[in-house]
Order: sequence, then structure tokens, then C-alpha cells
Amino acid sequence: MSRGPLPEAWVQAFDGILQRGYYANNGPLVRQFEQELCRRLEVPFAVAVNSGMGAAMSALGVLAPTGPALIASDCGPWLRRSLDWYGIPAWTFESGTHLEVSVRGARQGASILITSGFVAEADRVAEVCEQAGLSWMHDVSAGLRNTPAAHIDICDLERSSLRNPAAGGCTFTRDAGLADLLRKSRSFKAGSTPEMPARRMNFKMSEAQAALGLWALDG
Amino acid sequence: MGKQRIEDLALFGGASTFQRLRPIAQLERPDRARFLAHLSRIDRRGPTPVLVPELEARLARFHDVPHVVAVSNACVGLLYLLHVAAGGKRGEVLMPAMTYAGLPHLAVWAGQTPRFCDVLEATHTLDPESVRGAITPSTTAILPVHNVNSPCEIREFEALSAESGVPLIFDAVHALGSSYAGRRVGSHGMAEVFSLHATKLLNGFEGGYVATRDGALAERLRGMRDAGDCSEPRGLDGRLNEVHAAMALSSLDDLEGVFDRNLQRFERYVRHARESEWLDVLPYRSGEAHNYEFAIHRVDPDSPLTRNQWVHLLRSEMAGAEAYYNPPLHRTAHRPQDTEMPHLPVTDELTHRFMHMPVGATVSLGDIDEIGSLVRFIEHRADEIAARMAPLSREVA
Repeated sequence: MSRGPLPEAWVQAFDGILQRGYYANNGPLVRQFEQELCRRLEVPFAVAVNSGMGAAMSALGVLAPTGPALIASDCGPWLRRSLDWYGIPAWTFESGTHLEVSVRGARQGASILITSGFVAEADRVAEVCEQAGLSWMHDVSAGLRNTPAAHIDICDLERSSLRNPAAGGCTFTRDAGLADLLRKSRSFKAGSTPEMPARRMNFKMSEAQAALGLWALDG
Repeated sequence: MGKQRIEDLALFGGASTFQRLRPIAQLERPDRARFLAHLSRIDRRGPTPVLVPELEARLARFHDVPHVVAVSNACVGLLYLLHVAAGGKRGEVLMPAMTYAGLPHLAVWAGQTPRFCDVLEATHTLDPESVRGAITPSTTAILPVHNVNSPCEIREFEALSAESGVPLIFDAVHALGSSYAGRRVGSHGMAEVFSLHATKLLNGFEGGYVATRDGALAERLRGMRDAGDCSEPRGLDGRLNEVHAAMALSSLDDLEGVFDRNLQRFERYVRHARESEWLDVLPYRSGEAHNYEFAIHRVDPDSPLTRNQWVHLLRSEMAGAEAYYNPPLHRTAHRPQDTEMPHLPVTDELTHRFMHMPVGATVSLGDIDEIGSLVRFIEHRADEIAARMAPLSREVA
């Protein structure tokens, strides 16, 4: 990519946005982007947000860990900083030892497993988390095509292979209940229910971010 | 063809006045060619921002402040400031309850407890005396919100902040272009926070910015914004992306035009309100500059229809009126469960009286004339309509 003339696809996408007059707040392009991600990654639910860190913070709010987090050594610093905002202690472990660590960590009081990239025996890790009562959040930014069976997968669209020029993030889940909470947690306006995270934030993706996300998917 | 009979009202089965909802949102569409020209200047080869620093510099000139830090949305800017103001301490943030739902959440994110104070009847902004009475050794920030019709009592708050040592942060989202004592809002307190959301005055799709005179603070905010790539321990990735900056720059080119168009709509509402028996328009403070973003209407207590009934009737006609900050935040789930219910008599009273009327680029002067005619039609039959709405009253209220 260079600074030269704008790609025709950009011009068309932005013309469409200007014509519709729908610019932000999870509009039609955001929904289309989510559907496209679901289709390509074969995941039933995708919830787009404004950044990768927004995805992590939104997922943590919904999973609501009550104890320390077991976090793989190859997770980015932005993931650790997401934990800071919740005051969740991080127990770092050497990546590649997920299964053993899940079991041991759960026994010692950890309540969430956070991983990144490739996870060996992902199905077995999911099973162990289920038995041990551990939530599992996995960062798929490094390999968008390879989502394991975590409770919530998160992605930073700028750092991922998509390299969305307008940034953005996304959460993926197979659980309809979690997807509903993820959608509600990205804005203040959704009605409160006892299940809702106590604090919410503006994590909404704009139509511009979704438009360039769709463009990047096609590229 | 206007409404002739009560049955012509959409609430009672008639066709609605508008086919598409007339919202309360600016939604200004910037000039296409100008937007594409800004967009084409983005360096798509790498992560180095070109337009964001340019936007920051132009906004700094606009507000006459040395520093502007652009962020992904106004909430992020407020969160950074609340975190910095607290300085690692857990305490209370003093704020109004007559404002938008996000404010108490931001205090909680920053490790603080929101404490609601009352507002002034005349301006609907935070009452300095109510705040003075609430300051304790654990207060970490005072967070007044400028209202569109009137900025806060800035001088009193600055004195209070100097006297108590409590940092002062202004939520200035609705005060873009407004002045206080002849000076444009943006340079007061520790910092002031503005929005670039499409529904606000400066459309950058989404985004926000912090204006401040404090260079060290601006530097620290930039560090927090670039979380993941910096040493700031409490970072949150809050970078404004270049595409949003391109949109904000093109909107900034036409900002005075936005204010002018808002003024025309506001004056049209005022003209109609002169003919109304029970509705009047909240005036803008004289002698100051304003952006005329909203047309807030007060419902006379003698009106046979309550404020909520007015809202219900207008919304059924697709004129998207809304109750004005009702219910107030201390009476909603946005007040943390472990905090006491505050006594806020002025807030409680005001939130029952006012409503927002449709505004912004998608509302034409002709639309406002239609709304004016509709209001007159409703007023002429108000008693009968009120009687017919009585069975709905619980739902409407």
C-alpha cells in the first residue's frame, strides 16, 4: 500500500456510507462484517468492537473472572493491560504447556486461562477448562483462521493478518448467551440485567472500520 | 394533508407524520470531495499517523490551547483523565446525575466511586455548592458536564478546585464552539473532553479528544493512548485511526456552517413555541457563543398532557422526541449498587419537565413546521387526547 490514489473499493464503500448517513453505533456494515467473519471462520457469533483491547476488555467483563488469570507468555502486553483495568492478577506460564497449566492453575485458584496463537490439543484444553471451572479467552490475532474452542476468542484487526487500516477488534463465541452479553457490553445504552457486566464502555465499531474490515477480508 | 381528527394521530391508528424517524442527532454529512482528499493523504504504507497530528494541531488552534490529544472516543479521554486525577488512590468522583449513562461507568473503570451531586435550576449544570458540600478527603475528581444551553459555572469550579486541591475535569462534549465569559470552552480545569461521534457536532465517524494547557499531562495521555507500545503501566489502546481523523478534518472545515444551520432550526422551533400554550423552548444564555445543538422544550405543569405523554405522542408520529435525561442516573442501574441513594431535589424536579425535540442535519425547517402544526393540533384537543391516553398512562409514565 502506498499513499497514491485511493483504491476504488474505498471510494465506493465511503460513498455508500455518506449516502446512507449511518456512520457509527453498530450500523449495517458492522452487521455485515460480523456475518462475513462468522461465515469465513465458521463461528456462529461474532461481535465487532473498536479495538483489540476493546475486545479483550469486553470479553473479560462478560466472563467475569473471580480469581487470577493464567496468561501465556506469548500474549501481547495489551492483553496484560486489559487485566490491569479489572485488577485481575496475572500468573504467567510458558506457552506450549497449556493443558498442564490449566489443571494446575485451576487447583490453585485461577479462574481464567488466556492464550494466544496456536494451542496444541485445543479441544482437550477446552474440556479441562470445563471440568475445572476455568473460563478460556484466546487471542486469535496471529492466526485468524485457526480459532480453537475457547469460551471467547478475541482478535485485534490491526495486528491480525487483516491489518485493517481503520483498526478495530472482534470477539467470537459459540455461546448465544455470551454473544448477547458481548453485544450489550459494548455500549451504555443497553438495558441492565443482573447478568450484565457492572461496568460498560463505549467499544462500538464505526461503519468506516467495518467498511475497511470488509475490504481487507476481500483482499 | 394535516391531521383533522384525533383518529388521525398515529397513536390512535392514523398515518404517522413522518415516514422515517426524525432523530436527535447532528449526523452532518461532510463534503465528499473534501473527505476523499483528506483520506488520500493517509500513509497506507505504515502505522505512522499523518492526519491525527494535523487534526490535533487544528483543534488546538480552535480552542486556543497548546495541547490536544485525539482519542478513539470521548469516554476513553475521560477515563484517562479520571485515572490520572486519582493518582493511584481509590476515592470518589463528583458528577451530575442529570447526564448520559456512561459517566458513572467511567469512574468505576478508573477505580473510583461515582457520587452524584445536584444541578442548578437555571442552567441544569452541576451546582458548585452541592459539590462543595460533597468534597471529602477521598474526593479524587470533580467532573462537571457542560450543557448545550449553558456551560458550567466554570469560575466557581476553578476556585473550588484551587481551594480544595481536587482536580477538575470538564465533560465538554455538548459545548463545542460555546463560550464562557467570552472565551471559547476548551482551556479550563485540568482538561476538557470533546467528542467526534457522528451524532455530535464534529463528525469523525467516532472519536474524541482532550484539550489541555498542561504539556506533561498531554504527554502522559499520549502514552496511555498507545498502550502495548509504551511504558505507561495503565494504558488502554485509545488511538484515533486515520480514517476517522480524515472525516473529522473535513467536518472541521464546515463547523461554522453546522452552528449556523443549528441556529436556523433552533429559531424555527422558537417561532413555533410562541404559538404554543404549553411548550416553550429553553433559551441559550445571552452574550455568549453557542452551537445550538439542541432544542430543549419545557412542558408547562398546567398542560393536560404530561411530558411523557407528549414524548409518546410525538414519537408515534416518528418525530423522535425524547425525555431529557430521565430517569436521572441515581435512579437507574447505572448507579453502583453499593452506593447510597443521594438526595437531589432539583435534578428530580427538572428531569420531569423537559424533552428534546428532533434536531440535526436530517431535520429540515419544513420538518420543524410539520412538528409545529402537530403540536398545535394536539394542544387544541389536549383534554380529549389525555382522556384517551389514560389507559396507557402507566405504560407511558
